[in-house]
Amino acid sequence: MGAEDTVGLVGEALAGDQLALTRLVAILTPVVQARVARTLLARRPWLAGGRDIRQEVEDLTQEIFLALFSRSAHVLRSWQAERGLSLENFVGLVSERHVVSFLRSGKRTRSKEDLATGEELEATAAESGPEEEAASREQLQLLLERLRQSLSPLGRQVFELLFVQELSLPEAMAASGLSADAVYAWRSRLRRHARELLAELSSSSSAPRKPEEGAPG
Amino acid sequence: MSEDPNEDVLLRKLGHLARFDDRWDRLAAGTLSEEEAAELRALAETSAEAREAYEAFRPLGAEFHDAVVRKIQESVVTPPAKLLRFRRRVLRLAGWGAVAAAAAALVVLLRPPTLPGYSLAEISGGSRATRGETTEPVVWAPGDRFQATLRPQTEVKQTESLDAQASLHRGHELRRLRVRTQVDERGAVRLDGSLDRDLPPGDWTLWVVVGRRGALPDPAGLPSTASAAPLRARNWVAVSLALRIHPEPP
Repeated sequence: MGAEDTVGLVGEALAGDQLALTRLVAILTPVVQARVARTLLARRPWLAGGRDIRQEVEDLTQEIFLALFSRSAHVLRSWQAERGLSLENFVGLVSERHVVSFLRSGKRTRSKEDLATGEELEATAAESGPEEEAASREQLQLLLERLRQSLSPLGRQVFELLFVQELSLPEAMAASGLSADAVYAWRSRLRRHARELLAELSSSSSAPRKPEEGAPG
Repeated sequence: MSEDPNEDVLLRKLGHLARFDDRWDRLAAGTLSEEEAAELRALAETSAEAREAYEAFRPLGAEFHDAVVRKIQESVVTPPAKLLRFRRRVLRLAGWGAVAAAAAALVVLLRPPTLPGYSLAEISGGSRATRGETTEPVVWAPGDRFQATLRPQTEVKQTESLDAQASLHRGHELRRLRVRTQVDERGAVRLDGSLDRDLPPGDWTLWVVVGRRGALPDPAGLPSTASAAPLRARNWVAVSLALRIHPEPP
C-alpha cells in the first residue's frame, strides 16, 4: 500500500468508517505484534516469571491499539507521512515504547488510565523522535551486516554461538572446539570490533567505507 | 562468562537483531513460504526459548482482529446525531436560509433508513448445506453452484431498493462472483451463483454483502480473512465465511 493510500485509510478509519478501521487493524496487527514480541523477548528477564508470553503479546497488542485511538486518536493523528516515516514504522516505534514502559513499570496489569492517556508515549517522544529511533535501528542493522562481512568464519561462528544462540561458555566451547581462554579472547575482540564499526558508522554514515584493517580474523 | 554482561550490550543487541530476522515478521503476518514455515516450526522444537518465540510471533488471527475493532469502537464516544441539532437550528432560521435548511432536511428524511443487522441463515453448495453459524470451513469445488440466504434481525423498510453481491478473497486475490438475487417482503435476501471453474484450490474467504442499490462497497476494500462479526455501514452489511476449495474430482 502506498503512502497516499495509507493516509486515506487512516483518515477514513478516524472518520468512523468501520470497513477502513477493520482494514487498518488487519494491516497493523502483525506490525504491532512483531514489535511487541521482539521487545518482550529482548528483555525477557524483566518479565515476571511464569507469565505466559502469548498472553502478554495479546494483551499488549490490544493495549497499544487502544492507546493509538484513545483521546480522539491523538497518538495516531500525530503520524505525518511527509516526515518520511511509514505508518508501520511509526506504529512499531510507538509499540516498542509502550512495551518498554510497561516492563519498567513492573505492573502485572496496567490501569485503564495508563492505557487511555498515552502520556508516556508523548513524554518519550519528546526525548527522541520516531525518526531518530528509526535511524538508529537502521544503523544497527547496517552494523550487523558490516560485522558479519568483516569477520573471519571463526569470528562469525563465535558471534553466532555467544550472541545469536546465546550459548553458555561450556556450550560455546563444545560447539567451537575452542578453549575457555580462546572464547574469552574472541569475545573481547568482537566487542572492540563492534564498537569500532559503530564509531565509524556514526562519524561518517554516508562516506564510502574504508577497507577493514586489523579486523579480527 | 564471568565478565560484566553490560559490557556486551551492543553485541547482545546485534545478536537479538540477528536472531529475529524478517522471517519472524512474516510469521506474524501469516505470509511465510511453506519452506520458511517448516524452518521456524523445526526451530521451535529445539529449545524452550525458541518455542516461546514461536508462540509470541504466531499470528493472532481473525477473532483477535474483530475483538480489537470492537474495543476501539467501544472506546470511541460517538458524537450525537447531527440531524437533531440541525432541526433545532431550522426553527431559528428565516427567509432563504430556512428554505435551504428545509430542503437539506428533506433530503435527509428521504434517505433510505439504516439497514438492520443481517446474518447468514443458510448456505449450500456442492452436496452439502450449512445452517446458521459454523466454525468449520465449508468445503466446495471449482464450478460448484451455491445458494446463500441472509436474514435481517429486524424488519427492513424499502426492500425494493435492496441488492446483494458476493466475492471470494485470498491474500491479494479477489474473485467477484456472478449472482442472481431474490429479496422477499421481509428483507431476507437469497443469492444463487456458481464458483469459477478455474478457481484455485485452497482456503478462501467468501464475503456476501446485502445493501441499498448503488451503495454496496467495493469488494476490493473487504478484508481477505473471515470476520466473526458482520461488517456494517449505514447502507450495507457484509457477512463472511471461511471456504475451502478442493480440487475438482476427476
